[in-house]
Amino acid sequence: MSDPAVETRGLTKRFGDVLAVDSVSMTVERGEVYGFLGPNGAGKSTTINVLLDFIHPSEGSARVLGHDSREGSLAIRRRTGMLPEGAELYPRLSGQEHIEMVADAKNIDVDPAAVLDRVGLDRDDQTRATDGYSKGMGQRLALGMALSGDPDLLILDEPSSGLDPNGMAEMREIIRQEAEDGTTVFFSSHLLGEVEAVCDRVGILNNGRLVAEDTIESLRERSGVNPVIELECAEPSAVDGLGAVDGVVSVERDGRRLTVTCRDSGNKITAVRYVDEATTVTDIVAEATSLEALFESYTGGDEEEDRAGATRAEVEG
Amino acid sequence: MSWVAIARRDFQDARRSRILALVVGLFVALVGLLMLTGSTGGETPAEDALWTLHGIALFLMPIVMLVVAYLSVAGERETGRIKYLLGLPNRRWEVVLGKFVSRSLVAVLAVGLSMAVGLGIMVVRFDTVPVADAAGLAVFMLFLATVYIGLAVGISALTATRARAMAGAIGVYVFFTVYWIVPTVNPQDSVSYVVEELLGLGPKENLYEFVLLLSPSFAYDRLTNGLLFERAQDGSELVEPGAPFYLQPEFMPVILLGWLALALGVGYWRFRDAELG
Repeated sequence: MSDPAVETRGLTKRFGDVLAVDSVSMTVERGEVYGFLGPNGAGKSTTINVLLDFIHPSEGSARVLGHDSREGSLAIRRRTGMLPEGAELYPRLSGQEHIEMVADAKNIDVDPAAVLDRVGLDRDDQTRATDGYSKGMGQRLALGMALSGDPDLLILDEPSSGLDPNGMAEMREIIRQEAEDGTTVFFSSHLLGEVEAVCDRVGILNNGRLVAEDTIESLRERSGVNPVIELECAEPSAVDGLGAVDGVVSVERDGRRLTVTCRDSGNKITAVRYVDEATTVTDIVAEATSLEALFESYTGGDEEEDRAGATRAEVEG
Repeated sequence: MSWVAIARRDFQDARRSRILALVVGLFVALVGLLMLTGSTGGETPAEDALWTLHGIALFLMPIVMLVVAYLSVAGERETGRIKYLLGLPNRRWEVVLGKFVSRSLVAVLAVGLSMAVGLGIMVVRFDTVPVADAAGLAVFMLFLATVYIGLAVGISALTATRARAMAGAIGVYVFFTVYWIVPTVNPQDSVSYVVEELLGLGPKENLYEFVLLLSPSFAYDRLTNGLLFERAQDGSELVEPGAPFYLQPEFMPVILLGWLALALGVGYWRFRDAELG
């Protein structure tokens, strides 16, 4: 059990001249919930397709549950539950028959009704053909297929696509339950908020490259997106020298409002105390670093990269 | 044995999609109609009716079975469902075999039920009923059907989209049944041109005949004519006395099985390492 759940080393995939995945090395530990994040077209599905041996690495390698993705694919798939992206269901098979398909292939006993109850598919829908399913119902069934047989590893490719906010919350709850059970969950998403809510760690993929791999908290610190605090005070002009305080990156004054950019979250209180010494603070607005800004700083276009770069330069200067 | 589960589920799908009903209905209607309308005059009216059926099956069976099976693997890839099949611990050969078995079962039911109906009508209409011939014809037609299903599954395993699988299936039909008899450019005449005109050798009649029999349709034709009806479609003598073994009806199963093995083998060989994007 000491092998990582997923481990890629220099994984590279080319389609002709297109470099879809560019020497990605990442590790997903056992029992972890790992969010695989990135904009559409970043190479997330391509990476997942390599893990399941649907496609083969151009260079580098992938190991899943201790097995090579090519030689050990069958052993991997016996212990893995997968939810593919954009795959149609069998239109003439019922929901329960889809679960039976998984049970047959994995040679296990599964109670289809219990699995589908858990993913929130009504009993009536469970027994009818899937060609009348909505996208959300199809996604619930697909999740049920992945969960069937209590796999050691769940590989979910954009599991929340087609789900309404309620469905997304239920799916996150199921991911949490699975993780508590000791299941490793590897799931991809282009929605940062969803990943942040359930993941122990995230890897951010952009243009085929793994640009970051860490906990959300560490990423936020390392991303160069600095925490900002806004202070409304009686006499802003009385505040002097705040910009020189250790941990304060910059100060902007707009009427009675001071906008203070800090190096990290711990510096916010320093700024508040400093201002409070000089004048009366009448209001404090502190927001968590916008996760969208964080995400964009890793995956955005040149413009965003420049901005993130500028912020870092400011920190250093 | 997960190929059994794949075959069972695929057959279930054929039942629910009414493909099965359609194909069985087509064959029952065809055989029924032939047996109902066949002349009761002549020396062997029942055998004549079977012989007519054989002549129609020669051209109808290939196209029907290609249609039955051409999407078996390519359809799964086009819809992305292959990711469910192969995200599960199914081996790729199990997918190919399961599909082949399931679609062949469609042919078994179509041929079996239609011939049963045909026999029933023959018993009522004709004085003598050649049960052995009818059974033999059923077996040989089924043989032909499974070879073309194998060709279709093999092509399907080579292709990732419906359009390409369809083009391949049509190509096989045109190649083995239409091209084979086009005057002057058909394989027989082409080979004779190479041998006699380009190489300047004497005529090699046995070779030309063997080339003709390389089409599974014509191999089936010789097999059935030679072993059941003992007459050729044009009424001429079937096999020249003293012809080599590879022209004998008894050798035809080798050609038919060869195509079956080649089609499934090449299809699987390419599918085994295919990228399912």
